[in-house]
Amino acid sequence: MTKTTVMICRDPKGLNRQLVPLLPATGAITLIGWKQIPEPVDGGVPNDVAMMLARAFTSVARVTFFGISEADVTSRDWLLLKEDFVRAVNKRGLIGRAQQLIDRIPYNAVLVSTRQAKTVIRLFDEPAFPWWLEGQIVLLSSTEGPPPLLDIKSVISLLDNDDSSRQRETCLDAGILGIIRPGVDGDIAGFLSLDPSIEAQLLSTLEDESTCSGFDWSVLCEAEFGERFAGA
Amino acid sequence: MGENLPGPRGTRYDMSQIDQGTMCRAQSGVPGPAGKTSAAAVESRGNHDEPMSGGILFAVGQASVIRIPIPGTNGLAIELSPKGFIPRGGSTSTLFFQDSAGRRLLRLDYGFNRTTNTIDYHWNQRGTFADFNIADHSAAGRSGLAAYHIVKYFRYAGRVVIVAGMVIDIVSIAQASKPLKRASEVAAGWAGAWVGCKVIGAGGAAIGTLASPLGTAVGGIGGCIIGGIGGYRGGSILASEVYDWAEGTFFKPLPEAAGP
Repeated sequence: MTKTTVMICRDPKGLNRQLVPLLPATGAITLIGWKQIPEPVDGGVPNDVAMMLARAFTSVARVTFFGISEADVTSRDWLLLKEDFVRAVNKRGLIGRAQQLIDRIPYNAVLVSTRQAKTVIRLFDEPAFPWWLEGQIVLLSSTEGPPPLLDIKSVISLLDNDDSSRQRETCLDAGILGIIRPGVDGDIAGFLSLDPSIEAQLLSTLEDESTCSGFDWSVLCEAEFGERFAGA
Repeated sequence: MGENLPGPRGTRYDMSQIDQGTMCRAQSGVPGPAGKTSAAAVESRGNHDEPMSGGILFAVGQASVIRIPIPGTNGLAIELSPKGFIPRGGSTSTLFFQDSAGRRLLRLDYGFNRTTNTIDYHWNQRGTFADFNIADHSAAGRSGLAAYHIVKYFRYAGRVVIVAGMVIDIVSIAQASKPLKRASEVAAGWAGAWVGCKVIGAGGAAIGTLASPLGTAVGGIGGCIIGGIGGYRGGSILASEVYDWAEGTFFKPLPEAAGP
């Protein structure tokens, strides 16, 4: 039988630079880690952990991330498709298309905005924006509000972790309350909260969902987190 | 006052002796005006001078960009770049065995390893354990270190080399006396190199897999280079023969026959 522990480390001072190097330090940072015994042979987020995270994210926020659309989406404005909003990522012009090809962004790439856990779980298994290679980003915005009003260039800029002094303001103006990034090998997630209320809500919901899933729950200091995360 | 006596030369008993062994036993020059190369001489020389070719560079370089199939792994192939979007700064992995989507992969990575709690060279994998028997975060050891760096530099050098090979080939077309023939040779050479890389590379990868994942990489990339060189050469020769055959073929109109 597999034993799963979800570990939390709030306000790490240096560990995040090693584990989640692509998270901008423009807000409060929380590390979300998980440990399974026995260790799974496959990398990435285990299915049961991914489902728990998806439920927790969608409970507290509208979740926006990169994905692939089976439908032909060309609109750069949000479009309601079944239960989810989508908008095309494709760049305009010859240079834009060439850049997209160089960046290995598929022609049918979209931003997906949803409150459905079954949609969110896809973000952990999307090879076009691989979580396990740190090629994914998750934007959390208000559950009641529309999808975030952030242009594609700004989202890519967040993904690239461009150093911008206005990044925090840009995100807040767009309605983004928090950002989640995969860490090293996709074995950990870094959560940047831009609004104090969402941090408390997410941690509380994560604890509830972990308990419901039969996982152990631990809030650890930085040293303990590092030990437990890496221990064999 | 001269030393020789007057009179016709070559008829005297004391004529100069010429040693036969000092003469070059080569075909004498074709008659014609001095200082100009005759058409026959050009034709004669053309048989001996190979056109400038980027075949070897192309074949070596293509191994850094092509997908080299690994037989018996349900669609995995050797590649030196990841699939999917990677943030600026790139991936910390250099060698990838992955399917066409990038969902199943085994990669040689350098970075923090949660199993060993240190920064080291290790393997990361998803869905390939049955093929390579390597679990996620398995240490790659000293051979992994060497392979990581060789592949890292080959990835960049290979791309430079393939462009150089293509440029040389294109220049050779521009300089050729028969550009269409040379273009046919180059195009067929590139196609042959691609096929040769895939076929021989797959064979090399299959043999190498018997040893280890690094054996897969060595066999696959080595086979790709060898197959690419052979394929380029074979493709070029075939195209040349076909061109010559087509150029020397004339079609005679059929005699008209009276209708019934």
